[in-house]
Amino acid sequence: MSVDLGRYFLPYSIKDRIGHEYVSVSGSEFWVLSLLFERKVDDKRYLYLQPFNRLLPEASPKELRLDFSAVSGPVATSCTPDAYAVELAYEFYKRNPLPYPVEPYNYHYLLGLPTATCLQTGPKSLRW
Amino acid sequence: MKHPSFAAILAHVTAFLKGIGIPGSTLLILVVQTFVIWRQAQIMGTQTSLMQRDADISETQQKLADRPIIVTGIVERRLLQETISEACATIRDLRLRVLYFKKVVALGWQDSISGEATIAELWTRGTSCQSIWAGIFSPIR
Repeated sequence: MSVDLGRYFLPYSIKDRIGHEYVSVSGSEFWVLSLLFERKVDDKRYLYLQPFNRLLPEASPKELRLDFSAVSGPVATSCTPDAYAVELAYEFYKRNPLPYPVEPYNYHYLLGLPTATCLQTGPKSLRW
Repeated sequence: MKHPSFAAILAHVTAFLKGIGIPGSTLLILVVQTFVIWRQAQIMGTQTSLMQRDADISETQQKLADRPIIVTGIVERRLLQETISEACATIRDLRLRVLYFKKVVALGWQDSISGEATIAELWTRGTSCQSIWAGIFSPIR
């Protein structure tokens, strides 16, 4: 079974006044796969998020997993790349809520966050 | 017409049994035994019902504990695969959406969010799905 996602996107082009592309911040390209499903056993809907990241424009996206991530630095600013990705997804769903109740399948902590933490306190290049 | 009381019936039955040579104490024992057997049958029925309920609860708990396993990964440069293998619980109405985020210098975070693609109405055990990303790998250009 396969699905072509091409037709589900609205292409978005951003160029400056003289037609040049804006420079993107290195390592700030994230994909978040959002899977919605319903379980028959408890009749609930679940939301599963799987983040991906691409460090270089010519590279393939890599799956972001906390168990494969390593970080060092002050605790107050320490965030793994998947935290940025799911916080961005959370911000989207906060502004565009789903029309039915959904239980997070993973990243449950996002529900308790008043705002996206890593995007506030992370490295300047990845902040809002 | 007035119905005879239990005591009156018992007195008549006792008199009848005495007449044919069975003493009252034997009758009393028989009555008590019958009552005990009836009560035991009732308790066994209740126990069976409770055991059935326990089995139902265990089955539901097992289904709840058997959360589906979702495996995602890049297969090729323009192909992304996600597989959901489930143990007991049946999954319905599986939908996929891709959220793309990129930070641009001087403009901040930009996004391109796809619509929801229905993958399967009913997702059976071990089924896998390949999502083709051709053309939308970088939705923001």
